[in-house]
Amino acid sequence: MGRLSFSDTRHLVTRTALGAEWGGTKALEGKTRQEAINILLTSAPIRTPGLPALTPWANVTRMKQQSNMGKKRARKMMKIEGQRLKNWWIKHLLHTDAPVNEHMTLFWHNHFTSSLEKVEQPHLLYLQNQLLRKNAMGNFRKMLHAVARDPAMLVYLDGNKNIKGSPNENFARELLELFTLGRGHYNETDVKAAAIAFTGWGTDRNKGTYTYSQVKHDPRTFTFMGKTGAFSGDQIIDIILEKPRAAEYLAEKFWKEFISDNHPDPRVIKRWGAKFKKSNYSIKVLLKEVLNSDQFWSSKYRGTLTKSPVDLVVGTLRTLPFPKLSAGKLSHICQLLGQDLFDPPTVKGWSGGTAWIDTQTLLVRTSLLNKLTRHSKASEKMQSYLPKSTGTEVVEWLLPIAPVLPLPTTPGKRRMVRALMLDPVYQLK
Amino acid sequence: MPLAGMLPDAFAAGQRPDQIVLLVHLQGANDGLNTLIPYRDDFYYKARPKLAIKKGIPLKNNMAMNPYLKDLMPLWEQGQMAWVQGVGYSRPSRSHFHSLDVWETASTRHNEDRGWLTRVLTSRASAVNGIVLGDNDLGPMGGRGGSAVAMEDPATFLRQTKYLNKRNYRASNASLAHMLNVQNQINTAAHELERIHHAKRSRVKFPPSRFGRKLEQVTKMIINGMDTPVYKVTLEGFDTHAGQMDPHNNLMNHLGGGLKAFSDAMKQAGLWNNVLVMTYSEFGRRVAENKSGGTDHGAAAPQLVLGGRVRGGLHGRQPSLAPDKLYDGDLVHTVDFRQMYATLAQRWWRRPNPWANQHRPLPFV
Repeated sequence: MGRLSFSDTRHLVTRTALGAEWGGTKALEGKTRQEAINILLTSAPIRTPGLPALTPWANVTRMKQQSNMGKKRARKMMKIEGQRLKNWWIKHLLHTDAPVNEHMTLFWHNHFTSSLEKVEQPHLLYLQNQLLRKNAMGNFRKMLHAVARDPAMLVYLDGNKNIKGSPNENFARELLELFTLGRGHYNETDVKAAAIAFTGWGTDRNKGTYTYSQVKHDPRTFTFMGKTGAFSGDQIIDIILEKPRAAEYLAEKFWKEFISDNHPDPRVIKRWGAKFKKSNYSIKVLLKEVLNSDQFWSSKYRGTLTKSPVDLVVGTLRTLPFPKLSAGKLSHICQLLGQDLFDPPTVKGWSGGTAWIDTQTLLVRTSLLNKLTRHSKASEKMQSYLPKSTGTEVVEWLLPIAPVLPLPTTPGKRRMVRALMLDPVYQLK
Repeated sequence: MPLAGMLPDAFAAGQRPDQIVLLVHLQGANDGLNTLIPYRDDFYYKARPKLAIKKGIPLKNNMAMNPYLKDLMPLWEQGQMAWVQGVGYSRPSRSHFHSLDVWETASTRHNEDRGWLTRVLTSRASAVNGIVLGDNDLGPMGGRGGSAVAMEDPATFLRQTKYLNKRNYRASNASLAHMLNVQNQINTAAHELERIHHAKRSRVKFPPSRFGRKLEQVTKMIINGMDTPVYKVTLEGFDTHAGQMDPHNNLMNHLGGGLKAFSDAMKQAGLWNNVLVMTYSEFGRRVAENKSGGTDHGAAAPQLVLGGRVRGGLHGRQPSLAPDKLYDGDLVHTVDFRQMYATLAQRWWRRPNPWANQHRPLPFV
C-alpha cells in the first residue's frame, strides 16, 4: 500500500479529530494508511477541565417543590449553570490532547441526544457527557446499556414516567428508531412491547440516580421481535443487538459522519456491519474499518462534507494561533451557527450536512472568519507560526480541494491564509 | 381542489407575488380569552374575578373583542376580519421553546427541523420566499430547502452582507452548490433591499413603536414590489404571569394600531386583496387567573386573520370553559393549528397541502 501524502494526512485528521494542527498532521506524512490510523486512534490520556460548579439534583428538586418562587429560582439557576456546562465543554474541545475521542463524544451526543431544555438538570447532563466520553471509542453494547440507565436520558425521554398501567413509549420508540434500527425495521407492537419491558426504570427522587422499582414494573409476558417472554429492558437491548440491522444502522451513521452525505453502497454497509457485530460492537473496530476503506480515501468524496460549527470554530482555533476567544463567546458563536451544545434542536439531534449552512449561518460564518483574519497586532503572531513551507502545502493544509476563488497575487503568508479561510471551500472538509 | 397541474406560477422571479402573507408572532403566549372574549359566559367571570374584561366590543355569537383592538373594528364591519377559535394541538406543551417549535415546524413530536412554510413553498434561486424582521431566527421558514432571510432590520442586514462573497464560482460538488445557492439568495435579498432602501415609503402614518416600524418596513418592501411571498414580524411581551391587565391591553393597542396602519397602507396601494395577515402564538393562557393578577401557560387560543379576500366572521368552535370540559385547567382545542397552514397552502396559495391526510382547510379565505 502506498504512503500517505500531506494532503492525505490532512484529510484523515480533519475528518476524525478537531481541526488539523500542522505538527501532528505533518508527522503522519509518509506513513501507510494503517500506521497513520493506528497513531491517530491511540489516544492520549483524557483530562477534562475541572468540574464546573453545578447544583446536585436533590437541591434543585427541593427548590422546585418549595414554591412558585423556588421554581423560578431553580430555572434561573439552571440557565446559569447550563451555560457554565456549555463553556466547560467548549474549553475541553479546544484544549484536549485526545481530539479524536472528543470528536466521537460529540458524535455520540448527537446520537444519544438529551437537552438541558428538557432535562433542566445541568449536573445530569454533565454525567451523561462523561459517560459518552468514557465509552466514545469503547463498546457500543456497553454504552447502550449504560445510556438506558442514564438519569438524564430517563428524564429526557420520559423513561421515569414509564410505569405499570401507564406506559410511556417515548424511550422505547427512540431506542428502536434512533439508537439502533431506524424506521422500517420494527413495528408499533415492538414499541409497545419494549415500553413494557422498561417499566419501573426511573430516577431516585432524592439522589437523581438510576433506580428500579419492582412495584412500577409490569412483569407480564409479551412478544418482541418474534420472541416471547417477560423480558427485562436489558434483554430487549440484547435482542435488538442480535439483529444485523443494528450494526448496519450504526455503520450508516459512520458513513454519514466520516465519508459522505450521499447514500452509501449497501454492500459496503453490510460488510462494515458484519465486522462491527462480529467484534461484539467494538466502536474502534468499526472506526478502523471505515478509515481503512477505499471509500474514505476516494478523491470522489474529498471536500464534500460541510464542517460543523464545532469543526469550524474549534477546529480553526486549534489549527491556527488566532487570539483565543472566551469560552462563553465561543459557545455563543456555536449557538448562532446552529450547534448549541447540550441543546440539540430535536430528538434526532442536528441534521448536519448541508443543513449547517443557511442564510443565517452563512453570514455568521463569514463574519467570524473575516474578523479572525483581519489584520491586527495579534495576528502578527501568525507570521512566525506559519510553517516555512511552499504555498502549495499551505493550500493543502487548509483546504480539502482547490479553492474556487482566485488567490491573492501579492505575496504574504497572512494574506494567503486569509484568502484561503474566506474561500467557500474552507467551509468543507 | 387544486391539482398539481393547476399550480400557478405565483412567484415568477422579479415581481411582487399576488398572494402575500404577513405572519405576526405574538411572543410570550397571548391570552386568548382576553383577546376574543366569551363575554356572556359565567365561567369566564368565575375564573377571572380580577382579569375579566366586561367592556369588550361585541362581535357575534356571544363573543366580544378586546376594546383596545378598536382600531380594527372597521375591518370587522367590512367582513375582512376572521377569528379562528380554539386553535391548538393534542397533548399541548407548556414550554415556550418547545411549543413554538411545534407551531413553526408543524410537528408535535419534536422530530422535524423544517419550518412549515419551507414545506409549503418551493425554494427559488432567483429570490427569497420570506423575510423575518426583528429576529435572527428563520422560524417557520428554516430548515433544509428553506429560502428566507432573517434580520434585525434591513440596514443591519446590508451591513452584515457586505463581506459576503459576491462572485460566482464553479461548484464541483453538492455541498458547494448548496453554499453557492445560499450565497446567491442572501445577495439577491440584499440587492433588492438596497434598492428598496432608496424607494418611496407609504404615506400612511405608522405607530412610532418597534412593532410599528417593522410593519412600515414590510409595507415599504411590498409596495415597492419585493419578490417575496412571506413576511414575519414579532410583537413581544405576551408572557403575562403577573399584573396582566394593563400590559396586555397595551399590547392589544399596539397590535390593533399597527395592523390598522398596515391595512390602510395596503388599501392605499391597491394591494389589500393580495395580502393576508395571520397571528400566532406559542399557546393560550390558563382559563383561571393566578394570584398575581396574571395568567400562566395554557393551551388553545384564537387566531386572527385579516385581508381583503378574507372571509370575515367567527370560524371554528369556541372551546367550553366549563370546569369539567377543561383539560388540566386548560381549554381543549377544537381546531388543529395545521388546519390553518392547510388553508393557507391550499386556499390562499393554491398549492399542495403537506398535511392533507390529517388536516383539512377551513373556509376563512
